[in-house]
Amino acid sequence: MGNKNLKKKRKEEIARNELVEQELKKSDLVQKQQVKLLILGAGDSGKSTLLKQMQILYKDGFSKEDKQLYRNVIRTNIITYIKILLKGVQMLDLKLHKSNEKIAEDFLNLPDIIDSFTPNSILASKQLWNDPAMKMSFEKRAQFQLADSAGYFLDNIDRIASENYKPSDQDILNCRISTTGVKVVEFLVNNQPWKVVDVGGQRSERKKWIHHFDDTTLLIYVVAVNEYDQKLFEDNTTNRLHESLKLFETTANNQFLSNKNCVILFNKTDLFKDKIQKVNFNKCFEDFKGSNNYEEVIKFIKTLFVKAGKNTKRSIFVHYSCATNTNEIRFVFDAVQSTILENILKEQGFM
Amino acid sequence: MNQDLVFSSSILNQKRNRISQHFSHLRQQHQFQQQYQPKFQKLHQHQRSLTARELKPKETNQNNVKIIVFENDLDDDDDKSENQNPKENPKENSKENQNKIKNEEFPSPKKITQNSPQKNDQLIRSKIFPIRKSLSQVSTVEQNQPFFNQEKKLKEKAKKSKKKNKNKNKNKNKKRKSVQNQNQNQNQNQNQNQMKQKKKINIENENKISSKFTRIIQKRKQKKLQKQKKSQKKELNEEEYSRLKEKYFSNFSEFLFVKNSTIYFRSFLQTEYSEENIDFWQEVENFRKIEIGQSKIGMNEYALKIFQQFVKTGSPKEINIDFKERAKISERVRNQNFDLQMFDSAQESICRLMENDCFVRFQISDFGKRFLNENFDLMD
Repeated sequence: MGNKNLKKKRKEEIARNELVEQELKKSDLVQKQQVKLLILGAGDSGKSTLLKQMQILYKDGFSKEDKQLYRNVIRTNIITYIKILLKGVQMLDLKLHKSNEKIAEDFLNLPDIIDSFTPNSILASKQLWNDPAMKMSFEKRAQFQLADSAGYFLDNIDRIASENYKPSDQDILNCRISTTGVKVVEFLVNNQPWKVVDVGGQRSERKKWIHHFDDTTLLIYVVAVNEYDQKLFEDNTTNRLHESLKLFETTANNQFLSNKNCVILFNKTDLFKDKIQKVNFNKCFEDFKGSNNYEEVIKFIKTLFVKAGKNTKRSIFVHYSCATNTNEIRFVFDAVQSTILENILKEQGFM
Repeated sequence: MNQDLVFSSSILNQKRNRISQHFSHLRQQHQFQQQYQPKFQKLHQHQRSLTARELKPKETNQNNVKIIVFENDLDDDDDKSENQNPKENPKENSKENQNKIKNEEFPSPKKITQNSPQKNDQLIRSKIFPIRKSLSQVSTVEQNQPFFNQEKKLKEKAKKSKKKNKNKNKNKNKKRKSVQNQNQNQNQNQNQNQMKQKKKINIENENKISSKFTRIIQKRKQKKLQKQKKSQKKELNEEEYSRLKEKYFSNFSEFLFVKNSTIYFRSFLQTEYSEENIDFWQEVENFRKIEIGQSKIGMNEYALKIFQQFVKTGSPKEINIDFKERAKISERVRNQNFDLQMFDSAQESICRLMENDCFVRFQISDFGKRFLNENFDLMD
């Protein structure tokens, strides 16, 4: 009897050993195949917009429930935008048209919820948006915190207020929802599993980034170049571009990321082109001594960032894009794919 | 191919260690089981045999709770002759009983079929005894009248009937049937007469007893129903899901006040490292409930605690709010100007942040589904 039991035990042990080895092989395979992308950047630079683009490019777009959510968010955002602009009017000592003064008073008392998006408030917001004083405060929006997409939505207020309004992909890409914490989304890109990590960019969120620093294959750092004359959301004294540069310097030289390849994405170039004609770049960066011209300014910013992250162990790739433009982002991700392939080949000793 | 170079060997080693630890633990468990299983089995067998001896007379007579009361008078040796035939209950009579007793508002007809008419006779003499007494008496009955004798007699009878009919049926049920056929004619006349006489008295007694036992039976039924519901929970339809979603997830500020909702939501936020938002919301909600009249110092301390934990720049659980709101609150703290509404605007902005960002992902996550499963009972 004893011998039989022993034989049984041994058989079981052998079977278990095989199981363990199979599991190890599987996990190794998954590890080898999986690509982990870290999307980092300061607040409001367009990291989540990149993720939305990936949703369109590599998944089947937005579901009905998503669209319902974005519709509500866009509608409530319109009310908050108007309120922020009205406060801006007060701050800049501008004067509204006499007929609009009462409407503005009532409007400021509205709460920022979807229920306050009534026909009355739509009419009021339309009337206010057409007021020249409001346009003035919109021009000087860099002095207070207003999302970049405010102009896009306020111009389309008629379409958004209609009963059968379904937000288009462009609307959703422009819609701003600030992220808290760290969200991980998995994609299948050309039969290759991608793990994309999107984070909140404000200062209070940055300490959570470190949870996902290990095992990264590629770091994508997003910079909003148009915010060179704006101040931070969480601190009204520091310049956004300065902050972004400093942040890149610290994260790129972190011990976990210092040997990883890096893609710097200069985002919101379309808004930057408009702004560079109105606001002098020299105001914000006194070291800059070139002419106030799109190409020269962007060259200057590029050299600053590449210098900050330069390292013998890694290579830095630079792309210019507008995150709401799907074609441009497709091009960027094609480039990212090729760099990942390059990465793998290098690590295996082929290059 | 140098494929292994892609991943550092240290990570692999860590994983190997983890898995080997897991399996060594499993091995230990397995060994333990192999050592002690035979012993446990013996124990179980012993227990079963014990319980069988104790329970058999009860089970064969009646499973119903009432029977325990009937057996009170078993000490009187007059009924021994009747007790010998518990298995020989003629089915026809029992059916008659069913119909009669159904009218008498009994909870379940199945259990009543097990009541033999002979037992019903005892009801005349039986009075309502406390259950404990009756149980002690059951054991005495066993000693007086071993159960196995009954079985032997039955088997002998069955063999005789087999020989007569020359049917080689091995099923016990058929044996019993044959026995019943023999005894039916004898017992039918007696039982019918007895029943007619004593039916009226039975009703009175049973009504008294039933009022006690219906409660117990109802409780058991409720427990069964609850168990069934729990088993059903895992298999919610898509329709039910959508219904529950509409009920609980349509309004975020209402969702936060549903019982246990914050626990599920918080454990989801922990996976995304953003639990400080819900913590802040909860703290402010508690802060607002403080009564000023009782102690103003307490409120000030609480406000300071919230400020230092959540609002101050560089605090351990710093929340993601606008610099304006942060400045407002910190100015109040600096001027010692505390107020129950001082955190309201910050709480609102945090609420909106969670609603648009985390809450959407929570609805699709496992935590959200588990929350819906939990609250399925509360629907009706």
